[in-house]
Amino acid sequence: MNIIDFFSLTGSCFAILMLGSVSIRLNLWLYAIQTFFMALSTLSESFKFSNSELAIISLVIIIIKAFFIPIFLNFVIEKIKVKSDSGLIFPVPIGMHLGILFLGFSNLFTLEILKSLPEIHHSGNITAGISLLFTGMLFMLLRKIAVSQIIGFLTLENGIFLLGVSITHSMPLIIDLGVMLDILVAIMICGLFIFKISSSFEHIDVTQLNELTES
Amino acid sequence: MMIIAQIILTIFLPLLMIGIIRKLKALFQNRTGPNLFQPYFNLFKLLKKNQVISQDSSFVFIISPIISLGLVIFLSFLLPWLPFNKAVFESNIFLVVYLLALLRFLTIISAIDTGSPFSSFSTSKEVTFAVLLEPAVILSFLALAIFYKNTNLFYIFSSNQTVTLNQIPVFILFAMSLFLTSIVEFSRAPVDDPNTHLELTMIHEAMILENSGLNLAIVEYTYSLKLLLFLFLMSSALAHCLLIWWHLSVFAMTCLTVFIVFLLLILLSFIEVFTVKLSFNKIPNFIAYALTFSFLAVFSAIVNRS
Amino acid sequence: MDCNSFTSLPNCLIITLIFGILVLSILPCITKDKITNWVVPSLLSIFCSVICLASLIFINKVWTWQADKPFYLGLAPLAIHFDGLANLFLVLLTLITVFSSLGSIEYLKEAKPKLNTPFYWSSFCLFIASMLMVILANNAITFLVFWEIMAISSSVLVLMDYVNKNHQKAGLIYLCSTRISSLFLYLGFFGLNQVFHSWDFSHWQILTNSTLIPSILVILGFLIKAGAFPFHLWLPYAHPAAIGPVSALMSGIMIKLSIYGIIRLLTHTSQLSGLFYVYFFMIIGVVSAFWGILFALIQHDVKRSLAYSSVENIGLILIALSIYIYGRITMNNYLEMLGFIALIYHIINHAVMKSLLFLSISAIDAQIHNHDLYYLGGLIKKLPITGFCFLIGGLSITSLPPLNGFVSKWLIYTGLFGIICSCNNKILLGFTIVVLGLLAMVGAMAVLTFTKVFALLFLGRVRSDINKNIQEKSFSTLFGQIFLAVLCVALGIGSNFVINYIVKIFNYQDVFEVSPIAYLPLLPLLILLFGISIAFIPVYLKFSPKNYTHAWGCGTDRLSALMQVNSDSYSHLIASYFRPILQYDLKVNILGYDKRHFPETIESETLSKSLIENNIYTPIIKDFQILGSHFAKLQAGSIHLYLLYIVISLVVLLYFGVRFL
Repeated sequence: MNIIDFFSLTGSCFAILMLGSVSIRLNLWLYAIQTFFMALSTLSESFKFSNSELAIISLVIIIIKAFFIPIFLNFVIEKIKVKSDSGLIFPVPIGMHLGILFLGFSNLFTLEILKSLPEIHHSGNITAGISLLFTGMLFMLLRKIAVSQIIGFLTLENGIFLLGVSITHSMPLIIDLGVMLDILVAIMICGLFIFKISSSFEHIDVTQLNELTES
Repeated sequence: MMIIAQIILTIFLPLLMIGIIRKLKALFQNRTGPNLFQPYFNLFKLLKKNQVISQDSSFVFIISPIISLGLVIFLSFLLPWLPFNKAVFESNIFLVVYLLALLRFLTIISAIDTGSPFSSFSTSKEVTFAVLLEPAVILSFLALAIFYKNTNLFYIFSSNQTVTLNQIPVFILFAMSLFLTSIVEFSRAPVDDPNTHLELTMIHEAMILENSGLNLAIVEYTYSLKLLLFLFLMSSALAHCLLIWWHLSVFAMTCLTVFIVFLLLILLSFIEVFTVKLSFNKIPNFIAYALTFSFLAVFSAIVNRS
Repeated sequence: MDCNSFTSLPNCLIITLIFGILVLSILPCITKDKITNWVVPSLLSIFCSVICLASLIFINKVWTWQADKPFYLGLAPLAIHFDGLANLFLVLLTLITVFSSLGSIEYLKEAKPKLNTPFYWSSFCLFIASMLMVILANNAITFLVFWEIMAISSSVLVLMDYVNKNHQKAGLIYLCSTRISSLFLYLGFFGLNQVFHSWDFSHWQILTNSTLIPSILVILGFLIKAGAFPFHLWLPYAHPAAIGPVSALMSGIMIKLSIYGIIRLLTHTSQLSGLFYVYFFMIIGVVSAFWGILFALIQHDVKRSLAYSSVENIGLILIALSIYIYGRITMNNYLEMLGFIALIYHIINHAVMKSLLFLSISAIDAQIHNHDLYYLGGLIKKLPITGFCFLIGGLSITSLPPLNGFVSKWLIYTGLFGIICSCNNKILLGFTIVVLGLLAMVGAMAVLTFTKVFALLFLGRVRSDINKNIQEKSFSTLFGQIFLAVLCVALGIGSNFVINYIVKIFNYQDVFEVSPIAYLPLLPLLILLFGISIAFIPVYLKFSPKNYTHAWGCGTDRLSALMQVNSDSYSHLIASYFRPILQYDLKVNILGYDKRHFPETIESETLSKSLIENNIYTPIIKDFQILGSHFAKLQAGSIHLYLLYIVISLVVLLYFGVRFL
């Protein structure tokens, strides 16, 4: 265990806690903390490999994903006056325990991956990446309200980023900035859509969107 | 010498801790609050009073508070809650968990024995939450045991272990899980409000509704001693994490532990002041977090063990 | 019989006594009722105590005997084998027989018109003798013959009160499940015979690659009889129907004989392979434990609750078995020994505490013919000794220290911890951790179940006037309870001694110097608790004056006794969390003219269905009934048609006989 793994695994633990909470604002907080820890992990990796581009990327992540996006989504949920999101298939705590199960599975997968990639040292980083992926998926699957789908998607994206960084140990700055911009724009558009949907349907329950098919 | 210090702490600290919590709560609410030693005065007052006993009760009602007290005193020799207490007996995590279960058994049967509808209903709540809580308790202890490959708590908490970054998540998650557990176990806010006196909503208070006089004094003391043990166990787990940077002497460790206990008391009273009681169907969700932390503790113990 | 050598004398004595018990089963047919009810149980107890002492003293003795020609059982001779394991089971069985036969006397006297006393005693003796022979059987044929006698005689005992409709159903279900169990056993034993060309148990090896299918069949047969998870259906029907002492025998010993069979076959097996069996037994074990205790906690019939608790304990035993198999597979001697000791210890403990609980219930049941928690309560003031013994049994079955249940539970936990520490297979590791967490939950649920059973039976206020005249009656029922309660405490604090004894019997000395349980401070705990309660008695008597009044009722008068927590309300909260498994539902019906403000009557009813029974067994039984109705057409009633069947079958048999022999 080193400090990089420590940060990234802490981040994935916060993501798992997200699965157990029904309050959307708390989920945004947890998302922000999780992203912050992920950025810290990237930052310490940049110090380890003395890679200045990674350092810049982590700072950009902190600014955009850990501060700006949660604040924006918070603004959206305050506008549409949605506070909590209940579980869809299981009771909410079971989802959290499923997330831990997937954390265990991702550790298994990591051990398999490491067999083929002997030059990688940070198994915790990869575990955290895969686990974030699963957690994001689960979160999108188990929740009703559209804002939760956005948060789940962002968590999933965090996982992909962490996985990429931990396998390649670097990331071209221009590509990552491009990705970041895409996400930013996507989230803004999603936010606007949610706003629109809620004003015309008076709810943003994803399970009821199938009424759009009949026209 | 050490054991005398431990016994003195066991006798005098528990009620002082209750006093501190009450004082802190009062300070948070801008009140002066009761005297720090008010729990002692209450205890003496209770000892002087007559007992009023339900006519439906049997010897179980009289005997079980005493046995509970004996059990908690036994636990105080079984748990490494102070950095200097030596193992009088071999302390085993499963034994500790099942002693707590025995304690619960006795509390429940003594509450139902009174024949009072209120106390018997609250036992149903107490035992239901205990069922949901039990895996969290055992798994959080198990995490430590897995890391050290030993079920003896004195071995785990012995201060001459080398501490590396690997232990830190295990100990922290253990402490977090135990903290959430003890909120439920001791019926503190937000699970149960120890200050309400509404018979149907209380859990712990309603169970001891029929106890009075000497009996109540014993129950109160047992409760606070158990709280003391849990808080000190948490704080020695947290203090252990600090050993990675400084290697401390036993005396310094003791001071550190007491200081962390004080911080935990502040946290506890802070939660009690600033949260409201959870609605009943949300308490399982609260307990689920304790279970999650204990699962994470086990996970980190497996990943980090050599 | 070859009794020439002096060394085989105790074994010959035991066999003679078993024969004596068989003879005893004829005795009730020729004597009068009144005499039977004293003579048979006392003779039976004497015989059993002699067997018990003989096998306890000569517990290590290995002795094999085979009958000569006239005692031939078709395919194989009548063969008997004594060893440590068999002797241990003999001790257990005879011990419990003594107490339950003494306990039956009172019961039969009270329930005279309903139960047929001579009939009861003759099937009881047959039951005991066949169980003794099942333990001693050395080959499959002997085993099966006495297994069948055991099954039939126990179904007769379940069906004692055959006029009652519910008991008829219970007897039918029990009989069916023993039939299916025997079917699997026949098939499995036949398959094993085909592989090893012998009926001797000592030549057989199960769970190896060459004997996969027959071993699975044998294990299924045993698990059905043991009442493990998907086959536990007969237990909650049979136990409430059978009278207490019979339930004590059935739950205490009979279901364990299946585990005995599995151990017997496993000890002869030299090589086990594959982690599959570890998973198999662990999954069945943990699901049985969880399922059993979950259903136990919502029952309001005490005996039904105890029956489900037997399912839980069988689950625990199977988990111990899986630890043992894991130790065998990975050549880990420490875990093998730990699993085996846990297995044997839990079997002993469960036999002791479950028969204690059933005997206590039977002492109540004998007087008021009711074991429903709705109507009972406050019995401890009238039955102090029974109540105290039940408390000991309840504490023990909840596996709380310092009693015996804790020791075996602790061994199981330590075994699982050993698997976690020594295992490199991550999936098994994660699985074991989940099992351990579930076991903790099962333990907490056991606390719920037995606080409920004990407290609602014995504590609080009386809920109805059903138990007005109840009192401690005869010493014969109390004797068994007191003895077993003392045994519970002794097996707990003397755990070190018992473990060393088990180790000595099964020759594990080489891996095992110091008992790990030596460190458990159970004796100091007991002394401390006892001391502190003794020390406080003068304080209570002298310094603390007491006033007696009724319980707090919000300032009103004394509240109704029905307002106390009852069986349903106590477990309602937990049952509602597990609603999908329990199919739990609460129906509240409020009646009255203005029912919103002034309800006249409020009825509430909790419903719970067995998921397995409704969704698996009932459809299968329905299909069988449809199939059976087709077969019924064959039986047309015409003699000529029957003669035709006989001719056809003769032709077919002759053809196959000529063709294949």
